[in-house]
Amino acid sequence: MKLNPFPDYPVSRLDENSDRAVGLTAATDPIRQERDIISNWLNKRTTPLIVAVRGDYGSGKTHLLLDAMANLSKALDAEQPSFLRVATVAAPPLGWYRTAIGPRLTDLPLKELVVQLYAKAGIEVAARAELTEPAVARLNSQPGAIKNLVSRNLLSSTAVEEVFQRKLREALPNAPDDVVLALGLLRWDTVGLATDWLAGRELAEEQARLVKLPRSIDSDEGALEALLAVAALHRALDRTFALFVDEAEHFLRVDRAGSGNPNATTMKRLLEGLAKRGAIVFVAGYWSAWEALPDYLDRFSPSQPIDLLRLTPKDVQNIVAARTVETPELDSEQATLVADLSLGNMRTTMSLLRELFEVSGGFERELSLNQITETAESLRRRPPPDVVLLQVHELLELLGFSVARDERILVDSENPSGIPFDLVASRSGRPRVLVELRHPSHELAQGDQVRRMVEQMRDVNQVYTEAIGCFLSETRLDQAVRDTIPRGSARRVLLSDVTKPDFISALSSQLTPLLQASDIPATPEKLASASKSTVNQISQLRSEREQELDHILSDPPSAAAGQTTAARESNLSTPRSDYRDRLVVTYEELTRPTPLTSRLAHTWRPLTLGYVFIMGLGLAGTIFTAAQGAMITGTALSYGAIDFVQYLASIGLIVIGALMISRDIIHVERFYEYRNSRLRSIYLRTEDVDELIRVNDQLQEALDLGGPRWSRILRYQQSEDTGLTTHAAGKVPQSQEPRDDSRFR
Amino acid sequence: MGAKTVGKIIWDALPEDDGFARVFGLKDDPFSPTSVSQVTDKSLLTELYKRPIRMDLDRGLDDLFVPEAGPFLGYLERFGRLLGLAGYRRDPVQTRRPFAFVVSGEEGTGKSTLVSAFVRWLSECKKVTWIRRDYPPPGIAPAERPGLYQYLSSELNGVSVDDYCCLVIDNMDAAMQLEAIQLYQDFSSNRALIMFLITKNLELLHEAGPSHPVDFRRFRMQPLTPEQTVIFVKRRIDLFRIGAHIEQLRDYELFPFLAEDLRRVVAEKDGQFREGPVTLRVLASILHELMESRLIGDGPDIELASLSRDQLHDYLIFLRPAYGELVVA
Repeated sequence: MKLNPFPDYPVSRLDENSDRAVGLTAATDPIRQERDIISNWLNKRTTPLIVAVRGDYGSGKTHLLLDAMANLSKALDAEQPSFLRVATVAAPPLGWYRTAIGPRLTDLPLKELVVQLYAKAGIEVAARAELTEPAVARLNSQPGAIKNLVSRNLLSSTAVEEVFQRKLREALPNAPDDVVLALGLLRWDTVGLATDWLAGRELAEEQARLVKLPRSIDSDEGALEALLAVAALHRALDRTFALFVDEAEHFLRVDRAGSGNPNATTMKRLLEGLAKRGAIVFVAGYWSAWEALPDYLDRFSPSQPIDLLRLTPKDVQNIVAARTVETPELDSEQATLVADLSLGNMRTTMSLLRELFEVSGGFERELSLNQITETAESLRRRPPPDVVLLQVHELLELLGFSVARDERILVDSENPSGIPFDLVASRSGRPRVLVELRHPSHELAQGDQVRRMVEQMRDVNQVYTEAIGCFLSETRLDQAVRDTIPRGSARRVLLSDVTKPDFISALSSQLTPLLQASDIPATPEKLASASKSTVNQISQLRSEREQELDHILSDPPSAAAGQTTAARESNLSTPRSDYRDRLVVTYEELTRPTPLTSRLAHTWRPLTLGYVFIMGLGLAGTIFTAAQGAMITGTALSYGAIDFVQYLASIGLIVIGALMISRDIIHVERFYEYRNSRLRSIYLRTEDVDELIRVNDQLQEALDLGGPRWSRILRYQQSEDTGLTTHAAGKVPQSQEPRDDSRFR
Repeated sequence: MGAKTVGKIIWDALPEDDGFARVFGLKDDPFSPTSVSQVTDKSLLTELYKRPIRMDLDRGLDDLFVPEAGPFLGYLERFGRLLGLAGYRRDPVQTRRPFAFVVSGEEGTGKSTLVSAFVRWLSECKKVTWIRRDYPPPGIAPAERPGLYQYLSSELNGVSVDDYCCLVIDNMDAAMQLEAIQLYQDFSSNRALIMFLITKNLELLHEAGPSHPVDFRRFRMQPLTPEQTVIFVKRRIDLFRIGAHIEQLRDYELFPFLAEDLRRVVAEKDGQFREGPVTLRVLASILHELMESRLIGDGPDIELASLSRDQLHDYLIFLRPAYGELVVA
């Protein structure tokens, strides 16, 4: 059987590795347009680059953003660009900032930028006198040295501070004082508090007083200014700042619910402010998002918006041809049917082609039009992942939760990456419902994914006891899989089959008892009403979109129509379910208990012989006493006292030898504990099976080389930066590393 | 020569096997002496290169104070004249007139040292006992620190109206300034109150003008001029120079430094012999580090006594290149 080249789960995430994504991108018209826009801008760099990306759900907007990131990253590599990637949420600007923008700001090198500005101030001061002039070269080559020079009084701290404050104010001319102060605090030990504050978190009263900041950014205006200040800081240091906004419709949709257009106004001000600060901005959103921003983007960028429209039969043929080698292409009739049945949607087309590939043995067997129709029908029961998540998202919002997409839950301070979930519904700042949507390719994979979710929730519940996991499956949930959930976890993990048309109602019914058990004031009536409202809203949106597309497609041929009919091959992300399947199996394989013989074998080292010898000596001492020696030699002396001492010494030697060997055994046992802990951490928070294997190999190598002294080898590996310090493996935490060296040597 | 006590540092009584004596012909580090016999509280000498000289607490530190290293001398004269005319120099003191002073300037320019000299002056007033209070209060963590007005008003309420009070408010910022003004207004009418405000915020000084509710006397500390730099270094080196080397070092009085070199490198590059960007603290820190690195570094292990006059030049520390080595360390 050939490997299916069509992705099983064709959904891109904004936080994916853009380089990996771009490797799978075909140069379609929208992609070419995006690349042309970037290329033209790079040639001149005189105007701001603000780009709108418009399209249906599943039309490849997110992947286009990833492609833009990859291209910009490559072109601007020397400038060390900062990319801020955020999806919007249906909330006022401050809510969006607190849930999505602020937390992402901490990924940017803000501290480094501020220290760089501080170093510039130091350079200015150092250049004033011949004595301190040598510091100029030092600071140019190593800006971070400024803190050392100031703390050693090799430069006047006041003079440097004065210049720094002036430069900071020049860099951020319109920023509120609080934001300027917070950015300035990033230089010192206050970096943690300043980062928290900038991330939108609330400081404790004492913390706020200590750093002389308000307890939090507490207004829409403040949130907007904080983001603009970040862009301005980049500009002041000639560093590129790029903002990638996805799913803009959620943010702009809020305006329709209330009076006025505060969110649209904020978005306009944000774009205008970023344009003035030389930032690059890509904003992607569903068609409805742009109704609130008619023609606004044209003010900043001469380029036309990038539209991702309905696929044509020719597009379908091109996609198949590009992804399959030495296999028959679809004929035009088949391609037309595929395009029609998938409504020209990239994601739906990919899913259908994947199924057709399976049905036809890799397109080797003839596909009848009936087969195509039947396959599409069976697929139709599976709603697009975005729509599913949107429905659940809105259901949770209507229940009063604050919902964020693609969030990570931190459950262990030693693993700051946290555990990722598709949706996180929070109340009072604490996660309450954690949603994971999966599309298992077969039953076995489904079981594995459910077990993984149970494990994830077990860890989450240790910190957030009230949190409920919600596993949404894009395939039918088998009873056998349901039975795999341990009884104790059944109240904490909810399984839902989203292929059913009324899944949202079913989900709300399932949620009710769990939410009530979690002491959340949600009544069945409210849930039912919320789900009904959500379903109606989604249906309405889809209907509006269909009408809009029909309208576009019925227009007479024109340049725009030419674009409309152009192919829109989208992104194809890594076939994740395959990865997940391997991950679960691999994790279980790697953490399977090691046989006792193997453990004992790892205890062995040359010194073990010495320990055995000591024990043997002791043993001999208890058998052959001095009295026996006297009998052999025939002397008649009394050896009572000597016997006693010898006996004690022999017992002592046996104990010492046994202790030494036990110590080695304990060290080896501790290795397995440590390894399992590391692997579990990776298993729960990433889907990268290669990382799992790599870390396991390195740990195993440490044990093979060092035996009971594995921790030393590990420390050596760390000092050589062999990879265990990468984000996936994490730094070996002190708490799990040998606490007392003497116990591990 | 005094006895050398093991485990106790009495550098001024040290024999010539000490590094400073052997390499530089000095009894101790002139910029960070570890012990001066006259100083009773040796903790006042800790890292003196970056801390104020608290001669108000220990008169043994008097010799280390170089009034010519900045505007100290002029300011002390002005202060003495002002308070003397008011009656604080009479025997006994015949005034209860309150005063408020603002001492501002960059960090390390000698603000606290100047206030220390002022307080020392006050302590010499005849037949008067001063009640001194400091803010921030010593020994209280910043997070638990009471507000300025709250703390000092409570302290002042606790002393008799007949007492003479001296308040020293350090590290004053804009927020504290208002409280300080309020405090002065509330208590200066019924107490003999002398208040010193120390701040690195130069703006505060500008705000204290004729229209201000309190008549602040202002003292602005500044970085060193080239000439002040040379005087400062010379006075300190003279203080610690071992007598036996004076004749040998006649051509290099500031050995291991050179007066011309000092003058040149601290001057602001744009101007000629104007005030430079180098403060007392920066200068003392640099010179202290340079001498220490000569002693503990990989440089030549010299014996000053064995050098001829012609050889001395080779062992001078030229500040610019030496500073260059410090900053990459």
